[in-house]
Amino acid sequence: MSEQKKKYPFFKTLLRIIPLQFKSAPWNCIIENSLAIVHGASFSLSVIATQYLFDAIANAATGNAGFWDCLIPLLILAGVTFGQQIINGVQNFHGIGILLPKSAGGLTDLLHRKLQRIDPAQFEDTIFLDNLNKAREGVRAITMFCMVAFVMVSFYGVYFLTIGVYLFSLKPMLLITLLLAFIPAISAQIVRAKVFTKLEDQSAPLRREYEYYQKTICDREYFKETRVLGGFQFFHKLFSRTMELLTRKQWQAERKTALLQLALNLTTFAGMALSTYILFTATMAGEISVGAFAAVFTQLGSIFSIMQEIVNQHIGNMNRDIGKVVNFIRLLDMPEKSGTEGSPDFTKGIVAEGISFTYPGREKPAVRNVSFTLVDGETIAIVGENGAGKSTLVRLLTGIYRPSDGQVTVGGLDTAETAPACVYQGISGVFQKYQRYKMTLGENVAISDTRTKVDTAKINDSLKEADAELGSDISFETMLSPEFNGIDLSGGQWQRVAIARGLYRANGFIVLDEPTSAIDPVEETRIYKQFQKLAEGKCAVIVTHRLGSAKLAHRVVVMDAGEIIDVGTHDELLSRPGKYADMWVAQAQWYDRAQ
Amino acid sequence: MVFTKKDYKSSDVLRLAFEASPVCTVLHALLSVTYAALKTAILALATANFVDTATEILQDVRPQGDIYWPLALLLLTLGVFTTIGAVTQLLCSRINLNLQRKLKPAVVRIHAALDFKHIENAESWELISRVSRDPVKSIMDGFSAFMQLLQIIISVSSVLILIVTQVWWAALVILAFSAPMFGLSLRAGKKTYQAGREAEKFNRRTDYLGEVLTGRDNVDERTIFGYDDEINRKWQEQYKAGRILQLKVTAKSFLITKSSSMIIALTALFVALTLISPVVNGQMTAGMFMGVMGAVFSMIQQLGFQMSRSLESISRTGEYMKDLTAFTQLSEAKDALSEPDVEPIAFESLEFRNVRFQYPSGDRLILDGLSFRLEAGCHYAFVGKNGAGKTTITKLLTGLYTEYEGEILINGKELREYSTSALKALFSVVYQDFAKYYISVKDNILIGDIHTKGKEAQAAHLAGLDETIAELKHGIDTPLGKILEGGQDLSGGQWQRVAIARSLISHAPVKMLDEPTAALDPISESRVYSDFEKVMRGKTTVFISHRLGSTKLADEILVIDDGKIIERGTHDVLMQANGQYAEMFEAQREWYQ
Repeated sequence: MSEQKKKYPFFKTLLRIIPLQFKSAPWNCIIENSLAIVHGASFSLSVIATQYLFDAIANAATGNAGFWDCLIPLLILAGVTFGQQIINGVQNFHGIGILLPKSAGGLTDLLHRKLQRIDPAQFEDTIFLDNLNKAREGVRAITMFCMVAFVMVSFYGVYFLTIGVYLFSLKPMLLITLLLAFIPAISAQIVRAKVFTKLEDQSAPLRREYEYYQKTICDREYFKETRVLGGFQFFHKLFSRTMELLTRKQWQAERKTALLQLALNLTTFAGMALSTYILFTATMAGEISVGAFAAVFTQLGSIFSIMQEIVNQHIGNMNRDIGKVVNFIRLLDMPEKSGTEGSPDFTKGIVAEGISFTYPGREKPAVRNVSFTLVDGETIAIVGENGAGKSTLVRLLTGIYRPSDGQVTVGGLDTAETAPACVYQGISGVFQKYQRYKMTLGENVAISDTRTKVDTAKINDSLKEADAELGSDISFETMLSPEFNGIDLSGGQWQRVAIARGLYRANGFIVLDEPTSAIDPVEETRIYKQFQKLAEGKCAVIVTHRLGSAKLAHRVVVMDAGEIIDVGTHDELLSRPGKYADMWVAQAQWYDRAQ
Repeated sequence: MVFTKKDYKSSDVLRLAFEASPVCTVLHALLSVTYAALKTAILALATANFVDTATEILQDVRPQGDIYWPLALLLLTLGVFTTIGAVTQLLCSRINLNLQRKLKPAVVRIHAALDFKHIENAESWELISRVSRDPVKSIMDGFSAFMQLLQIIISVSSVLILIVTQVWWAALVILAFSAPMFGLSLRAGKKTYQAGREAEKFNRRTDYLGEVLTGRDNVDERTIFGYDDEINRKWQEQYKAGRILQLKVTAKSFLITKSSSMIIALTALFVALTLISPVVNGQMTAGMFMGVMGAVFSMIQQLGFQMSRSLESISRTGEYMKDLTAFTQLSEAKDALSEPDVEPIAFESLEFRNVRFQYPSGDRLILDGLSFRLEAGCHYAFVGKNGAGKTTITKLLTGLYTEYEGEILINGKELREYSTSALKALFSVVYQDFAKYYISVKDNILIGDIHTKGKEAQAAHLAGLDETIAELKHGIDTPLGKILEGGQDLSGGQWQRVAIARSLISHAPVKMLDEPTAALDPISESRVYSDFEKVMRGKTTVFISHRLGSTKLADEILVIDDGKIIERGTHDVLMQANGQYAEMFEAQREWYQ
C-alpha cells in the first residue's frame, strides 16, 4: 500500500498551482496583475515627480524661479501621490477582499470534490488526516503563494525595472544601488531561516509538552480530576519547569538572531552608505542635480525596505507555506476510486470470498481471510469483543472499503470493480457513530438520499416507523443544534432520528451497527427490536455487543482478532464449546434466575 | 505577577509589560521615540544640512572640503536608524518572554482555582478559553500598538517642531489645517473594529459543513449516503453569502484606512504648499524644504496604514481587557488548589437528607429531594436512566458544587464544614471520562495519592496491568500518549486499568466507580466490575451504572429516577418489588433466556 513519496520541488509546485489559481478566479487574477503593474510604476513616477519639485525648489531658493514655478511640480507630485494611494487601496482590497476569498471558495470546492473520490479507508490513517488538515489550510496558502508570485513579477518587477531605468538615466553607475539592496536582504533571509528552523526543531517538543501541562490543569477533559486529586501543584511544577526551559531556549535563539540581524543591518547600512556616496560624487561632479540627489536619497530607504520586504516577508512566507501547498497538491494526486457502471440485484446476495483488509499505515490486517455469503432476505449478526474487526468487516461488505485481498460482490457487483455510487445505490444503514447533523430535522432525515427530491411524506413515515416521538413543538424545519439557534435532542431521540435516516433511503441491503454509547437497558432493548423490524425481508447485517440480541438473526458470525472463528445459528453456537458459548455464559450468569 | 480584581483597560497592557520587564519596557519606549525622531526630523535636518552645503559648494561659495562633515552626519543618522530596529526587536522578545514567564502561570492559577460551575457553563467557559488561549500575544499586540502610536505622535510632532524653528507661522497654519484632519482619521481608525461580527455566523456555518465533508466521524454515512454533492452545494451557497457580507466589511475597513492615508497626503500637500513661499522669500533653505518634504512623504506611506492598524489593535486589546476583567471577577472555589490531606478521616457514614440541586445553568432540579444513607464497609450500586442524577452525586461529594439545598452529612457532620482537602482525601472517584494523563504509567498511578511513593507497582499489579507494563519499552516509566518523547499508546481497556490503579493507590476510604465503562462492550464491562469488587473487599464502594447485572454484587442497590431514590434494597428485594429495577433487569435478562 505504501507508495513512494513523490517529491514536489519549489518551481514545479508553483507551475502546478498557477493554473489552479487561475481557474479558480480567472478575471480576478488578471485584474490583480494589472493593478500591480500600475501600482509598481506609480512608485517610480513619484520619485521622478519629487525630483522635478526639488529641482524647482532649488531654483526658487537661488531666485531663478517663483512660487508658480514650484506650484505646478507640487501639484503633479500631489496627483501622483493620490493616485498611488488609490491604486494601493484598490489593489489591496481586490487582493484581500475579493481574490483571496473567491479563490479559496473555488479551491475548497476542488478539495471537496476530490475527497468524494478518495478511498474512505484513508480516513482511518492519522497521517492522512494530518495531511488533510494541512491541505485545508493549503487552500488559502495556494492563493497567497500565487499572489506573491504574481506580485513579484507585476509589482516588484515593474517597480525595480522602472526605478532602474530612472537611476540608469541619471547615472549608469547608480544601478548598483539595487544590487547593494539585494545582497543584505537575501543573506538575512538565509541566516534567519537557518536559525529559526533549528530553534523550531528544538523547541517544538518542549512547547508541545508545556502546552499539554497547561491542558492537564485547565482543559475540561482534565479539570475535574486534576482538582479532585489535588494534582495542581504537581502539574503546575511540570508546567513551570518546561516553560522555563522553553523560554530559555527561545531567548538564546532570539539573542543570536538579534546579533545576526544587527550585523545584517550594518550590511544594509553599508549598502545605503555606498549608494549615498555614489550619489554624492555624482552631485559634486555636477552629473546630477541637487534635487535629484535629494529625491533619490529620500527614496533609498524605500528601495532597501521594499527589497527586504520581498525577500524576508514574501519569500519567507512562501517557504513557510510551501508545505501546506504541497499537501494540497499531494491530496489532489491521490488515486481515486472509480469503476464500471451497474446496478445491484440483491437476489444474488452479498458474497465475500477470502477477503483481507489492512488499514493504510498499519501492519496488522484488521480483517483476515474472511469468507461468507449473505443470501437474499437473510439477517446476519456479527458479534465479538471491542477491536475484533466487526466494523471493518461491515465496511468491506458495503463496499466502503475495497478488500486488499479477495473479492466482495454486493448484489452481483464486484465492489473493487464497480463505481462506488453504483454499489451504494441499494445500501442503507444506521451506523455506530451515527451523526447528529447540525441541520433541520427534515435535513437530518433526508440527508441519506439527496439524489432524489425531498419527499416530506416519506420523512414523516420514516420518523413514525422509527418511533421518533419528538414532541409537538418540533417540526421538519426545526434546527437541531443549539449552536445555530436551534434545540438539542436527547441521546435516545437522536438515535431514533438516525434510524429514520436509515429508513428514508431506499435499500435492499441494510447495515445496523449498535451504538456503544451509554443507553439504558430499556432503551437498548427497544433499539434491538427496531433493528429486527428494519431487517425484515432484506439482506441485513447487525453488529452487536449484546450476545443475546444475536438471537434475532438467522445466523451469527463470531469474530475474534480479525477472523471469523465461528458461524451458525444462535442455538448451534451455544450447543458447541467455543468463544460464543464462553461469552454467553459470562454474560448470562448475571441474569440467571436461579441465583 | 498577581491579578487584582479590577477594571482592566487597554492602557493596562503598558503597566503589565512594565511589571513583567521594567528595564526593557522603558528602553523600548525610549528607542521607539529615538527612532521616530531620527527617521523624521533629524534625518530631515541632516539632509538639509547636506543639500545646502552641496548647493553652496556647487555655487562656489564654499570650499569642497566643507561637504565631508555634513555627509558624515547624514550617514551617521542613516546608520543609527537602520540598526536600531534589531535592538528594539530584541527588547520586544525579552518583554514577550518575561510576560510568558510571569503572566501565563498567573492566568493558569486563576483558571485552576475557578468555581467548577464556570467550567461547566458554556458561556463562562467560552470567556475562560478566550482569556487563557494566548494572553501574552494579546498583551504584546496591544503593547506594540501603543508603541506604534507613540512613534506616530513623535514623528508628527518632531516634524512640526522642526517647521516651527524655521518659519513659525507656517507651523501654525499647518497645525490649524491638519489638527482636525488628524482627529478625523483617528476617529475613522477606531471605527474599523466594530464591524464584522455578522460574517462570523456564516463562517461558523461553512466551517461546520466543511467538517461534514471532510471529517472522519461521518465517513460511513458520507460514503454510503453520498450526500457530498448536495452538502458541497450548500457549502458554496453559505460561503458565497458569507464572502459577500465579509466583502462589505473589508471594503469599509479599506475605505477608512485609505481615507486616513488620503487625509495625511492632503496634509503633506498643504505643508509643501505653505512652505514654498518661505523658500522663494529666502526664509527657508531649499535643503530644509527637501528634508521636510522627504520626512513628510515617507510618513504618508506608513502613517495612514499604521495609524488605523494600531488603533484597531488597541480596540481589540480593549475587548480582551474587558474579557480579562470579567475573568478575574469570576468566583473562585475555596482552597481549590489544595492537596488531599495525608491522613483521611475515619469514615463511618454518609447521609443525604432531602438534597435538592440544580445546575446553575440548568432549568430543572437534577436532584429533587434525594435521601439515602451509606455505611462504612458496604458495597453500594446506584442505577438509573441517563440524566437521572447519578453522576451529580459524585460532584457534590467531592465538593465541586456546594450550592445544594438540604443536608449532606459525613459522619453526622455537614459536608460543607469539612475542608476541601479533607474531602479530597475521603473520596476516590474513577470517572466516566477519567483523565488520561500523558505522563509515565508510574506518575499516572501515583497521582492517585500524591503523598505516597513507591506503591505504584503493587497497585498496577492489583489492577491487572502487569502484562501491559511488561510490553512497554521502559516498563512502568514509559510515558503514555504522544506528548513526551518515546510515548506509547494504550488501548481503551488498558487505560481503564490505569485509572483503576490510580484509585487503588489512593488512601481514600470511599471508592466510587462512575460508569467508567461506557466505551467498553458489556462483556468487558462486567469483568471490570467484578475485578474491582474483588480488590475493594472490606472498603466502602459505590458503583454507578446504567447497565445491570454486575450491580447484583452490591450489598444494596439504590435506584434513582428524576433525582430521587425510588427503590432501594438487595437485588432479590428489588426483583420482588417489581418496580423500575425489575423492569430494567428483565429487559436485559430477556436476551439471555
